[in-house]
Amino acid sequence: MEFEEIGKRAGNEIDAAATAEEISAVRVKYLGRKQGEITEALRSLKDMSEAEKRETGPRIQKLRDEIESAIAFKEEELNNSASATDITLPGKRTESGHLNLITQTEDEIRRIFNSMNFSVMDGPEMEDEYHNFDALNIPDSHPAREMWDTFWMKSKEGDKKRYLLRTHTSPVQVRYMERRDPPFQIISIGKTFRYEATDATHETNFHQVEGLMIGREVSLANFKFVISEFFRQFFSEKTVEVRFRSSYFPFVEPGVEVDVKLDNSRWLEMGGAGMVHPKVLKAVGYNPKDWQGFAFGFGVERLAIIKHKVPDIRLFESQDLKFTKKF
Amino acid sequence: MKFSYSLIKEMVPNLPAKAKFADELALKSFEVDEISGDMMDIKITANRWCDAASHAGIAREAATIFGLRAIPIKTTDFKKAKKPLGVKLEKGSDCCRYIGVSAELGKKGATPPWMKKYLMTCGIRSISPVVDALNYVMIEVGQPMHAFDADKVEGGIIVRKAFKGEKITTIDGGEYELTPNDTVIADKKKALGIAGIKGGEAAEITGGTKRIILESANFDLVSVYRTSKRIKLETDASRRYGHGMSSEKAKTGMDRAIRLLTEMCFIKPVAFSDVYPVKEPKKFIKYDAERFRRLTGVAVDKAQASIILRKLGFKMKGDIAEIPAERIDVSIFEDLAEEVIRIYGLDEIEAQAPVISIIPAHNDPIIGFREKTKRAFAGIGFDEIISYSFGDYPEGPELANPISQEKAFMRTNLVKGLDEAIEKNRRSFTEIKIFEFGKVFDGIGKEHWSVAAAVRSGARDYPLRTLRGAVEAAFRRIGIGETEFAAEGKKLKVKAGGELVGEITVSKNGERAFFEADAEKLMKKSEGKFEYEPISPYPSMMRDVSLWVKDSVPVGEIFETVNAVGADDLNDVDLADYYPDAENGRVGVTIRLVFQSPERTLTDAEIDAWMDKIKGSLEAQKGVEIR
Repeated sequence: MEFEEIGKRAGNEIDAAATAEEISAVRVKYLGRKQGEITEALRSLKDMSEAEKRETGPRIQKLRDEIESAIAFKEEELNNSASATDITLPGKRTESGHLNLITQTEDEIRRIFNSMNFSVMDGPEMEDEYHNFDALNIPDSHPAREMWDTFWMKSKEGDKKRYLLRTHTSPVQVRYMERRDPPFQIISIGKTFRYEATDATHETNFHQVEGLMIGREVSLANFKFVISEFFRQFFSEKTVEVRFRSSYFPFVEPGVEVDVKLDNSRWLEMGGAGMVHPKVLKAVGYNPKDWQGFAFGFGVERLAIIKHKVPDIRLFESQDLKFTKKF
Repeated sequence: MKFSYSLIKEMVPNLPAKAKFADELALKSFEVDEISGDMMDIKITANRWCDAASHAGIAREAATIFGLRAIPIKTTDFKKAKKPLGVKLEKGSDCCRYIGVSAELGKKGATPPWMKKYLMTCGIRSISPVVDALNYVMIEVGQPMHAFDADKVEGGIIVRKAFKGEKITTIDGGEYELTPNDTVIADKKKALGIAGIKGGEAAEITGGTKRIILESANFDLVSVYRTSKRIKLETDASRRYGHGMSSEKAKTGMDRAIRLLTEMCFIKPVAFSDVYPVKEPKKFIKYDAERFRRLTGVAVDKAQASIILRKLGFKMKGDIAEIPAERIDVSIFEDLAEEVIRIYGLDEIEAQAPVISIIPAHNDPIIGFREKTKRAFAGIGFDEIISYSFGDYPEGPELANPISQEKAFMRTNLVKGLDEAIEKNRRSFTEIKIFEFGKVFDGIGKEHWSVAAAVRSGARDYPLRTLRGAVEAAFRRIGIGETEFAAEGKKLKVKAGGELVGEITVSKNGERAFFEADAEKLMKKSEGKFEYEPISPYPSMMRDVSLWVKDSVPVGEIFETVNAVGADDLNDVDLADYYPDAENGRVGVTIRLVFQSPERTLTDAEIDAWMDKIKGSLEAQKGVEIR
């Protein structure tokens, strides 16, 4: 078609132009006010029918814009003008969406554990009492349960089970072990809940990462390796030291608190861990004589707070986009 | 729990300074929450209240940790009293042991200043010499004790279940109504105290008391715990019993009390009774060095382990450890191993890579889908929101103990949270594009993953269009083969791969648009793979059609009309322009059509022919006029 022909021809001539005079001639030839080919074509529109006009008008306009732009760039090139090639011009702002820092932290945790052959498991946020407590050697009417301030669901008369909002991700371990045989290594990351007053370090809705590795000879020394490797990759500081302190959690024995020291600063408390209690193994039908392993649980927010120096845990679920957009 | 550093140091004279002591204690035994003057607030873990919730217990930990000697506590055997004291434990009374000693007070006596000081450091008020001595025994050796005015006790002591509705007034004036699940200490006429929790007013000792009955007992932990929770009365005694104690300790407590009261008030024990129906059996656990190595990864031989365990009060015969009675927390090998490793040093554990078979990691499918979906929305400019899982959702499952009435229900959708997020952010941002991926709750024990997105912008920017386009783009990125939208009233139903997965809604004024879908249904439709389709080497041709459309005609119908023509090689139909002309009750609409053939260059004549048909159909539509 005629217009395409003009476009092609103009393109070739613009490319071929080697001096300011030559490009100026091309401009006159196509866009000149008096006899430019495109100008002529636009002028001829007035003689067309309404239908033809609607049809042809936009096409000529588009062609005109293309030629205009190509000539302008060529002129910049030939005149050695500064504006197009000024590499100190500030960048034009580009907005992208932001993943919440919790998600970014979760993704990073998952990446590291996947790389160490841990599978990632998911489980319910509304749990029954058995999976959240009893199966984990946290009996009813024992002060040990007070370590977890719990949101309970309203129950109806005749309900067999009591439901609650999981206070930790540990029930995912139990559910996994109920349907799978060892050996294996898994982690679970997700939302957990505690009934407590909120402040800079406490939030009712927060996230945990839970790990579990079961095998014939999986030991505390193996845990130290895995968790040191995790912290080294996660914090990517020059030196990352890990230490254990004696502690107590009903579902592990021995139980320890895990501390890390980044770049020779002070020790930071990270969370609890230990060797899975034989009662927990028995509750899921494993023979504790044959199988053993470690379990751990850390706060995802706590990991993010330390890594990114976030001053207040409440920012994560504040729905404040000013916070979200910072990461 | 509050401790006096100087009292511990009295028991372990070479104890290091507070800071060093606290550091080592934190590594090997318990965290120290606070140090203030002589007071150390030590966090006794729930399993160790049985032996370590006392200065003697902490002194033993300290002596073991630093390899020092602890001075034994001086006692006087209560059995020196000759006559029997009437004590009866009724069946099912949940009392494991009851030692009662009656004694005459030689003089009123006075609490020595050192005792007052230690009590004060531990947060206990001085009351009277007898009460102070008994409280001191509790903080010193961990045994809760009580004293009754013997002249107010009619007949002997009876430990029994409370009668239904039985009332008791405690020594601090509290009034409680009891049930047959609660245990009381009584005489033949009345209740004298709530077992393991608090003494009653009826036999309270006063300045005029001449004869006392001392109680050192042990009760079932669950019974004390439940009663204490039900009547909402927690005391130093109830917390200790609630954690569980050994009945053997009752004797230590009584012997120590007799000793102290003899010194302070010249008491003369007259009669005693020690009712101990089922003596606690001795427990033995073998220390297996090989098993220890397997568990911890550290080699600690029998000899090294024996040294540690002996220090902690275990009696060793070869590799057999006899567990100290008060250590009710130690019952299996792993417990013993913990005692050894924590004292030997958790720092001695060296990192060792586990040896495993290479079985690939298998994440739950939702994990990968969630990540992909989140990245899809973030990739097209949406910011991720994480909201509370509970709020004001009267249709949702209800919490028994919400933090507030506005947060009493589990969320049934994510859209409401996003609306709240828009509200919070609208002053800071004109355009808001957000999403959330989270659990919603369908009932008690029922939940599913949901994904939602919302757009807020100026009315002329049509947030609904932005959102619908975003959903299409996101769905493509997560691998949904075909996305369809169908208007249903004021809602737009969203189908993925032929299945209804969610809907798009818009606020009345058009300022906000919301999308939500069942993520689990969506995931099932996202598992298809896109297959390669040839890329046409021939040019595409574009045509615009501009229309005036009456307000009453939805634009969706115009698109349907265009598609219904079935033009060959019509690759894409898009809305290029849309602007309301409110004055005339119409909207200016420009539709852009793109033609392209995979086989050849299309001619203008062909396209024009199709365009004529399309325009014909449009013109035939009521309320549509070609501009």
